[in-house]
Amino acid sequence: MTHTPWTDDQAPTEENASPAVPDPSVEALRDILFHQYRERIAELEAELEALERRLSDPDRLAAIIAPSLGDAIRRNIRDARDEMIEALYPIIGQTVVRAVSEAVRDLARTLDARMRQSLDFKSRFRRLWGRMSGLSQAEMALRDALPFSVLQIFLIHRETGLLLHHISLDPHAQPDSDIIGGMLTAIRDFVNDAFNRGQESQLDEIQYGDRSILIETAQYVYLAVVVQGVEPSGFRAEMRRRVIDINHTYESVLRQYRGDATLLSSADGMLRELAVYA
Amino acid sequence: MPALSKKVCLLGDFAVGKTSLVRRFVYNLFEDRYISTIGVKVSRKTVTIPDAAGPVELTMMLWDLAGSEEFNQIQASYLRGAAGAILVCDLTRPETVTSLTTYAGNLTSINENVSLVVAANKNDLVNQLRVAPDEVAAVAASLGAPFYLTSAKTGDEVEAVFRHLGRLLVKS
Repeated sequence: MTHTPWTDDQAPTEENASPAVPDPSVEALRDILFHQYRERIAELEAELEALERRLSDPDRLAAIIAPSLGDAIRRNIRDARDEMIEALYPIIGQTVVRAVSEAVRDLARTLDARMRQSLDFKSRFRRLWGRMSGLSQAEMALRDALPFSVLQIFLIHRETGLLLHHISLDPHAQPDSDIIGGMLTAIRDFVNDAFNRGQESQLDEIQYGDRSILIETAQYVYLAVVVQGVEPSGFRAEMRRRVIDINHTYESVLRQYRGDATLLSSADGMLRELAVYA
Repeated sequence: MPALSKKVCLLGDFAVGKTSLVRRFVYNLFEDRYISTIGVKVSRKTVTIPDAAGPVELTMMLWDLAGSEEFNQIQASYLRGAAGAILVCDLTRPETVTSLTTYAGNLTSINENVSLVVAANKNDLVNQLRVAPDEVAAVAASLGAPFYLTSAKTGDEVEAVFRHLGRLLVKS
């Protein structure tokens, strides 16, 4: 069978197409079939519109999710505490650092202002000293606000644990410095043996409350300094320098130490300078 | 008067009376519980020792070491630098006498020229004694050490032990 195409004048157009006449019975049928769907679509559209309105309002959104979010966080903290801490640490850490920095800056500003107002001789001297040493008044004031003091100095023979020299600036210090020196050596030995097998590192600090025992070791002796407060920068290096100096100066006595501590009495000056370092 | 300080260790099996000897005649600053925590407690005993050049004030820093097995590895570092030792045994337990040789060996392997004195303790428990003085004497002689039959309870001969060791330390 062959198909004869339309000619241009035969093709259907809007003008010559027969007009759509709604058939009432079809319309009635359509209403019957789709009525419930049309209603449901209208309801969904209304709900969607309401939801969009709520989501676009931050206050209403927060009110919706807050209860669920709170429950979720509480449950996560309970079930995965370590993971939560790790996740939050970068944020909390930075926040704490920022807050502390800000508090310290505030303290510095306050102290600086007070120092500027002060006219007494001590303050003038401090300002002069600060200028000479390149420190700002705030830094000088901060240094005062973070006090540091040396309370006791123990120079101890490393091998025997015998006390070689002791300086106390603490009026409440125990008089039994030789026994304390011995126990300190025992604790050092214990820590080194128990936790540090095969390694060269040494116990270098013991902290208790606001006090610390700073320890610096040389070949034959070690220095234990009981301090209160925050040690100034360079104090450790100064301790190290002095203990090495003492080790070199008295090397012949210390190598075969026979228990006569008077041979090291001249080390007092080297140690006492450390006591007034702050 | 010249003054000297020396490190002295107290060695012996568990419960032979080392701490009791220390407690009776020695100046204590710290509690005995340190012995069971870090394995040692340091105390001080000062004696005046007559010497040819005049009396010497000798301070013995006494390291009372735990006698239990658990601290054996750590004991080696506690023994370092000791100039002398009091080897303590219990006259009611023969095995504590024989183990003195081991303690002395451990000590002399770390410090060659160490002075030793043997204290055979609990001599007051007359009815329970199971070690004859001759047996203690034999062990002490093998170690080249003098010995004393002591009682920490009555104080018998305890001071003599420290004085004898003091004389050896001043001479050495």
